[in-house]
Amino acid sequence: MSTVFDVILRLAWWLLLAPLLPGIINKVKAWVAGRRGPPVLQLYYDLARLWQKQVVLSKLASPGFIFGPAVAWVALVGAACLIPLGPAGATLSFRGDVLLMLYLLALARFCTAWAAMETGSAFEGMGAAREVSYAVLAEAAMIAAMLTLCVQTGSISLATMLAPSAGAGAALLAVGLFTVLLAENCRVPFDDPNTHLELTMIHEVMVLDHSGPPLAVILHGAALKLLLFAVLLTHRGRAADGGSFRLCRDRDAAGRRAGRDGRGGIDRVAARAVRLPARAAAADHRGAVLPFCPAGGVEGRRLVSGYLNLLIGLAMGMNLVALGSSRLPSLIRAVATQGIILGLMPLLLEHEPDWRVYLVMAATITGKGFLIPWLLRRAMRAAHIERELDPLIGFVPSLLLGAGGTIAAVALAHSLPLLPEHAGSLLVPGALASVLTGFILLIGRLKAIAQVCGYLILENGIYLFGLLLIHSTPLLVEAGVLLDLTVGVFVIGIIVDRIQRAFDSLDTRKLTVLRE
Amino acid sequence: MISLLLILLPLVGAVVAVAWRSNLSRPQLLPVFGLLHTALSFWLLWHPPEVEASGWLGFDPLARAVLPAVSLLFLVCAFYGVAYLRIRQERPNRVFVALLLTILGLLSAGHQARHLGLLWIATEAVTLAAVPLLHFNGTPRAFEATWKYLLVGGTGIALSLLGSFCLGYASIHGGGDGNLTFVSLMAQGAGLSRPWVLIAWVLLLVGYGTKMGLAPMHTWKPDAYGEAPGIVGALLAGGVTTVAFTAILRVRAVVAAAGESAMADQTLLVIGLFSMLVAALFLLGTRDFKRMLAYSSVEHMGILSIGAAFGGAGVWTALFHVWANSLTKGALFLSAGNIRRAAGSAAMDDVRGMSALTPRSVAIFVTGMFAVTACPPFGPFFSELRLVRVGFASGHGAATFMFLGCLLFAFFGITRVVFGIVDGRPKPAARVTGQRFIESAGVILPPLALLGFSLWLGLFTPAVLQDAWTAAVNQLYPTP
Repeated sequence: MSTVFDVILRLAWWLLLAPLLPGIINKVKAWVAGRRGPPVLQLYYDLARLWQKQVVLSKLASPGFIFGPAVAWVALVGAACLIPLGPAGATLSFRGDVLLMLYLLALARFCTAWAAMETGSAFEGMGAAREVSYAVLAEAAMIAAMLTLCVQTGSISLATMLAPSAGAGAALLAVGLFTVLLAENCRVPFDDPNTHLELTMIHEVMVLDHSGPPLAVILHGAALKLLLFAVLLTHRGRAADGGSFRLCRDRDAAGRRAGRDGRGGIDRVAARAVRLPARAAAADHRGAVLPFCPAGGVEGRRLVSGYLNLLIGLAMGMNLVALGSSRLPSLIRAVATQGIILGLMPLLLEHEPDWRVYLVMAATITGKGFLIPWLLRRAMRAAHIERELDPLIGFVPSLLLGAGGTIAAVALAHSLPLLPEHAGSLLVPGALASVLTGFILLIGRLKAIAQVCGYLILENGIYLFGLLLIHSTPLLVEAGVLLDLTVGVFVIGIIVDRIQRAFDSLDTRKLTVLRE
Repeated sequence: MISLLLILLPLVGAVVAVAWRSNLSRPQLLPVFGLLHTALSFWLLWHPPEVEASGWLGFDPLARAVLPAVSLLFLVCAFYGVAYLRIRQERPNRVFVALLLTILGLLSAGHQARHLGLLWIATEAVTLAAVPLLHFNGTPRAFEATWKYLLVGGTGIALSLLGSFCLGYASIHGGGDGNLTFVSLMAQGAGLSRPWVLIAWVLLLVGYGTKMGLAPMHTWKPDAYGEAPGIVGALLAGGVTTVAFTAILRVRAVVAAAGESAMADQTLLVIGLFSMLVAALFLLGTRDFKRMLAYSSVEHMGILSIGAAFGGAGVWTALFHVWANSLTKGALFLSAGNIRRAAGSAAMDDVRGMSALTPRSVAIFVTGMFAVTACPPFGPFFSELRLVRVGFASGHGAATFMFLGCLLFAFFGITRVVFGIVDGRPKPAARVTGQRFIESAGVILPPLALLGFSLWLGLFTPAVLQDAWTAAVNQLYPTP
């Protein structure tokens, strides 16, 4: 009796909680953009409303038009049942369930695409084609991630595979999974769920002709998929032991307890850190959490390195975003984000940060994160260019180059002799990958602003490498280096401005008078 | 601490230049501070100060062997600058004058830097300070050249920073404390982690090699030298490249101390020969006499690199060649600037018969050309002759033959361009611009003086300079 109750409870958790996540995302998005946004529970209202509506059917549609969404939904619910919910475990677990999960996800996609083509609309067929072409890449990444986990744990059961494992690999995998999440769930930069511009929409196209309950099922399925990936990602992102749900509950308590313990002068910083989202908060479920705290010994250091690796992993993700974006604003945004991420790192590396560390940090974040991007955006607006139209190295090839380069960087870093304390860190691979990305952008792009972004990423890579020496080089030198770099980019910005005035364009192809 | 004045004095001058009101009299600051700087550096040449071993800055033997040449070149260029800026009164020169003085101060800092990080900061700052000088003319072509200079130079300088970090990591990994002064790095010697030293050497050679203009990282050079005013070209070719060369020499000493001197010499030899070859081939093809000077500069950087690869005696010769090349190349750049101004173009197809329009500048230009292609009795002839002797003596026969072959091709290329613009009948358009240009003493005497210095260097190489070069070699090749 209790097992039946348990299963029902889990199903209810998945089904009822799923529409909440898009609501939260939309709320946060609206909040960031300075709007009030729809209520958090908006999707619930929508679903209820759609369920009561009538279905409008095309004359051409076969029963597959209804079956498709239904089968897709059932497949997604099935896949969700296979995912373990932290310490609570999965509803269903057996050897090889990871394969079933992958296939169920594929089945769901197939059914959605099939249903989209049922009405015979060319537009929806195009959407389905786009969805499937994205899926080819995203699924490959997903399978690669799962294979990595299989190899790492020597198991093909999700429950054991997702058992936490720390280290550099986990952070990288988390970044990869995050990218898959974005692609699979039609999020920026792959797709925008809010856009109804026919050129950019992918998922929305496929559901244009659906209405009433089938549309409700599709929307709910999409939310379920988002939740599913979020849970998967949460499993990967956690660097240390612990159940995510207990952790969620215990987070504040743990912080308070640790504060009371007063171990190693832990203070509000630690407590605040523990309150970070579960995937970032690498917390021990026993409650002895000591991030940032040198006296915490090995545990503390491992936690710091976990944070650091996560940040570097994010910075490496930004490399790929920069390589793949054709719009200059998103390229600039990627570079700015990377700059901010880099600026945070000295704080994690320095055991006893003093005012100089904070100064360097503040200077880096303002310079790399705000000042330079602002300068570039201004130059971009002055020149009236938004996109890199036909780059020397296409976006997909440069993305593939960048991804291959990242793998090569990790492999190369393994073969380099490193001090034991740097061996597990992503600093060297991150630095190498960023330098490479910078070169690809410098060579492969023709717009001056894109080249400047490449130069910035190259510099970011060097900055990452410089962090290896943070304990031995005097801060004076670092400050000088930083100053020089900033001035350098300023000068570049000014020249960009002047070139624009002289040539009325920022296309470096026009700079071809001097050639030999 | 008198050597610090070498850095501070020009920087003070730059501040004064910014504050100076009159556009007309501001250029006079250049020779004033140039004179002070030259006097000081030559005084230090004769009276070398004690250098604090662990200090970050110091007028050490290597700085003593090279810095006075830069100082002298700057002084002559400063006098030329006064005349040049008088011709170009229509353009505000506040930034120009201030940055020229800043560059002098930063070059002094770069030559005296005994700390890897400080050296990098000084070199990067020089690179940046030169940017507004390059587009002084404000033409689209100048901006294009500036853009290439910034992008190529910036990338190179970024790589040398990465190399500096790698060298620091080599020290930490080898159990050192990561102290980046050259003295302590050399003291750690074989204790440096070998793989990291190799990585650092490659990155630093590429990085500072870009600054120096070694092929294949030379691509910024023809554009920048071609579009910049002659005075800026002279300073870039004679001053900025020198600081990059001494940087490479200092790093090479560290790499040699780590036990990798054979590998370092081999890479220097290969890159030097390649630079000479590339330069010779481009010299045979170029149709622009200012770009020709840039390729000639690439060729001479190759010669310096080859010299550095030939061991202690080779470095001595390379230091000699630094002096000879800086001064001679300065004369060429300044006289080429005159010709360019009178002709209204730098392309061979548009410029002809300049001997009729600007006879004095042409005379200096042609003589300078013979000097720079190593015709006796000028400085470059003696330094290159010595290099050939060192090459054969140290068993680099094949390399020396290649060196001589490249010199020959470069000679063909340079004479082709030079006589192409000197001989013949001037174009009608050039007659108009040529009449507007007056060969006053202000624009003729400075290049003539530089040519004189080159001659003096070749005929009577002063003993104090020879001492300075020997001391520098002893610093770079410490006897155990």
